[in-house]
Amino acid sequence: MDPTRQTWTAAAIVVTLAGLTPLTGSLVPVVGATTVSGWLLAVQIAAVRSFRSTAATATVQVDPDATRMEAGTAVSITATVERPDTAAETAVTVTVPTPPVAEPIPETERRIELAPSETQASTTFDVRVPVAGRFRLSKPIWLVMDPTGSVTESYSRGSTPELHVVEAAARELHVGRGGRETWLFGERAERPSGTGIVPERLRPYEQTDPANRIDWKTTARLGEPYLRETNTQSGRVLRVLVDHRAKMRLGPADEPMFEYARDVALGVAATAQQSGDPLGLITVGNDGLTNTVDPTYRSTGYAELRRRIRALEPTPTEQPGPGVELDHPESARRLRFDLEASDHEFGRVLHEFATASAAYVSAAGTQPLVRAVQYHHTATPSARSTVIVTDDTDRDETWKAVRTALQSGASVFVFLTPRVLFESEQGPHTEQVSERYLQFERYRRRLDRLDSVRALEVAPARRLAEVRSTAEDELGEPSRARPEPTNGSMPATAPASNGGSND
Amino acid sequence: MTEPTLQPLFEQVSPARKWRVDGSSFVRLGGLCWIGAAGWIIGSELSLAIGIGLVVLGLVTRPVGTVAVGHAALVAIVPDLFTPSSLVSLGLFEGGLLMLLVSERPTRPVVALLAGSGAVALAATAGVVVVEFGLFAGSAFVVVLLAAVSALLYRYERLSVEQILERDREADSDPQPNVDRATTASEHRRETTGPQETTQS
Repeated sequence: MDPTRQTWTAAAIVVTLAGLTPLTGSLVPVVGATTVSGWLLAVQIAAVRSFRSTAATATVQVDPDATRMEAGTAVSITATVERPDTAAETAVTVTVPTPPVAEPIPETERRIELAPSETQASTTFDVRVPVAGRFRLSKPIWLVMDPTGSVTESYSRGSTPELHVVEAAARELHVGRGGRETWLFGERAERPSGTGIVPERLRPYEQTDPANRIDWKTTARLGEPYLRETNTQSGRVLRVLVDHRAKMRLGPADEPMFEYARDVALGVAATAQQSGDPLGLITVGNDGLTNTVDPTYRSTGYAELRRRIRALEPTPTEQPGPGVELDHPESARRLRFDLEASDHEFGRVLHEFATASAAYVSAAGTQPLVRAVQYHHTATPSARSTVIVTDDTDRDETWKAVRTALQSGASVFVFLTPRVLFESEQGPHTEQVSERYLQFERYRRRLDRLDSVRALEVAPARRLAEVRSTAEDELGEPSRARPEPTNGSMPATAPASNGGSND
Repeated sequence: MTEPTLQPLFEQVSPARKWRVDGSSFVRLGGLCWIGAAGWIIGSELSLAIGIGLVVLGLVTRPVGTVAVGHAALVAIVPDLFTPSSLVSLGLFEGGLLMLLVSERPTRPVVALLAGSGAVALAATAGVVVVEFGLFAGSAFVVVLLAAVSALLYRYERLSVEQILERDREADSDPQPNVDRATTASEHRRETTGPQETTQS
């Protein structure tokens, strides 16, 4: 507890009046001193009581909208302070600290203020961390003041969520065919031209804008010059299917197989946005589809797709318990279903939480990837390309999924992570590993030979090179060659480029 | 990381904002009327002038300042406290000044009661010390007593809040590994939001 200037002023008055007593030879000043002292002590006793009550009952919840993010991208953090009516006497400010490495954010944006009698307040701010790593937010700093402004108290308390900041792309990501890296940066035969006709947004006119782009109707309505920005929508509709079943958890804990798959999916999203290709998303969990997003060509739509891809984690293998586990798709689905018709505000808020989580939106049988492709055909008959990101565990299922995708006449791009390279990470390069890799390579080539199919391997570059050097004789080709450009119609994945496409 | 400032808190409690009409305004107005009436009842020109002066001062300054000035001014009309008329004069003014003092926003009955009873107890004790040891000792006694009780209160508050925070930290560090994961949704909130539920459980 710290005295404020007001308390010091009252204390000075007490001392002054007490000092006047022997000087004047009258008892009246000391009576004044005792009166002010009595009031000062009463205020402090009341403050102690209210501070204890605030400390015991007020809570702060700090929730990032994603705990995993790419370096340099923003994550929204919402902090909410709540307290019961019985503890609402004090004035409170709660400041949420940010990691020291994060870009500076004004304190006013990170601060929550609760005036006396207010019981709930929140703030939302964006944190951008430019370097990779795991960062735990420090405990929020509380400043509490008694209602007369005489004394204050400060302490740190509250949740400390961890942010996992990953690099824009896996360091050693290799995407290629038969060990050859593929140049995948924006290879396209056709590029959109012109400014487009699809309305994107309105914005105020700036001096550097051409005058013929002024939207006169909006200008007349708003009283100042406005532009209507448009977007170029190409006719090339893509849909990316991302497999995030439990099997994708294989590999080192910090960079499991799914990280490589995620980078590819993000690369596809970034390249589609650059090219103006409408992009949809289907994600596949153990027991069904967890995300089905219709193709979008808007910048906010691409950002939402990337957010969903970043939020993906390999689905848990065990069934959820009877309680609520938002990190389990089945549990999130149940919650969403239960709250769908809720009339209460609390229910609606919970429903939004459940909707934002990866939940099963459609059940699938024994082959969810095939089910995802079938769904894709039904939902997006206009799609010209299907991108499948998975591993080679269940080759029959993948084969069937590709054949199903081909039935619509669309081209198919399959990105496969060889399981053998992740199972034996840093292990001995035995004959068995080489043999299993050869089996993978034969399978990939079989897929690649299908009409309108491009099958590519996705793997850690160094590990792939090691295994391929062992299997060089059987492969009958050099382990590493110059990167080859892909076919012009490739939906280019650009892992390194997705770092530059912030939300 | 910059330390949070107190300014936003002061803006919320804002004790310096004078021209507001609420419950405290009526208490303050009542106190000022009492002081004015006391000046008039005592009957001398000086007491009337002091009464009017304090009313004007009370309208433009904070109550604690008016109370301090009031006691200094009362020396002129109440030279000693050993005659009944002096005691009546002081009592008349003192009631209004105390009422004015407790009108510091926000006026709370508990604080007013504590302030009144504390002032009476302190005055009685100080009176005994003055009678026994003289004026200087009585004055010093009031200052030392205020400092000592304040220091104890500060220490007690710090310890009790620390105790609450410590329970909070213990709850955070105890992951309760044997609890069924399905039942931990509400408990996760408990872990992350502090000891509200912990103290209740």
